[in-house]
Amino acid sequence: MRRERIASLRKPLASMAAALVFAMAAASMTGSCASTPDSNRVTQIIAPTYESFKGVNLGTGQAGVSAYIEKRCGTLDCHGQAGRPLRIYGRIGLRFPDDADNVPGQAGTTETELRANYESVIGLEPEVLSQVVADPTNSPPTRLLLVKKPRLLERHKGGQVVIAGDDGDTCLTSWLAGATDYGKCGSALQVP
Amino acid sequence: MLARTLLPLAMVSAALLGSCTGDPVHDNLVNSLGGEINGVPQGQYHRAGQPCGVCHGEQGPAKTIFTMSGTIFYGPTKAIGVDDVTVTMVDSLNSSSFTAHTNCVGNFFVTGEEWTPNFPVIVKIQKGGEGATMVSHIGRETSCSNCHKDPPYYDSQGHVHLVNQTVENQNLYTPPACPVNPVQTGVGGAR
Repeated sequence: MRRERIASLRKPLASMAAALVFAMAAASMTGSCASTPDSNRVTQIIAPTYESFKGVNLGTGQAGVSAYIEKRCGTLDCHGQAGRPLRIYGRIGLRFPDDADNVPGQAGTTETELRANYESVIGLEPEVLSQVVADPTNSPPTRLLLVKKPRLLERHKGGQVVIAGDDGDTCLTSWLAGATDYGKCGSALQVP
Repeated sequence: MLARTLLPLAMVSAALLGSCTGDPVHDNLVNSLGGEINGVPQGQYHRAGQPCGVCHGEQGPAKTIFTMSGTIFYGPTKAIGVDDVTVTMVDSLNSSSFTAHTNCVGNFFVTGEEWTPNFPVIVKIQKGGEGATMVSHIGRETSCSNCHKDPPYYDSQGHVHLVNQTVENQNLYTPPACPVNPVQTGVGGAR
């Protein structure tokens, strides 16, 4: 009698277990399915302009943000390496392949390289950058690795590169604030 | 019985020690430099043009650690080491500098006891009336040839050289007597 009861219980239990396994499998399959990639989809970034990064119509002693970053960060043993995040191209460092057949230390930084540098910088933390640019009161520039790393507020293999408020630091933060201080960028370039 | 137990352990230990550091990336770098060249024993004249800091760094396997090192060659296409080149290095504190001199294969090296720079460092090389100041600073690299690889390419200007192409074409340089051939080894520092 008891065996019959157990046997009768086993059937529903087995069915329930099978249903549970099926449900879990179905849920995991559903969860692992993503929508078809949309090749037209873009992530909108709110960023300072390319022109201000490059620096146009500059006066004596002035420089663009890229020039400063190329000199201070873009040497071949630092960010002028193909495998490094925040890859920087420029006259004294890594040259853009298949661009102008340039080698380090010779012809000036090309338009392609300037554009690539800009994309490296704004693509480092695009979401945070957008917040910093759109709402600097609530999102100060110190949220960005671009500022934290050179100030050594966060571990940086290259050590401390700037001090808050010095010429190089002001070059970067003024650009982020939309009022690039090209004079400070130029002064920072004079540091050996 | 004991010997049978310990033998595999000893073999595993030996294999681990043989791979230097247990860091496969570093081990690959060391191995990529190849062995010593016949006629050039280990010492100050060996491996001219190779990135010294690969072996002479914290991870070894060389015993001496270099804080700066490299090879100065004559011209852009004449990769013959030049002796007695003055290599002046100034670090970011601007109060700390060190002057090294190359030997007859063009090698120079600085140990931690001699000078430990606070990067970045700017460098100038000079011999007689010839010389050059490096256009960029050194961010943290301790070996010239990790960046100055041959041939010149999008990521390298080529080996470090004392004179430009015009001077090199005049064929003025005669290498001094040297225990080994001062021509670039061509392994490791080159592609």
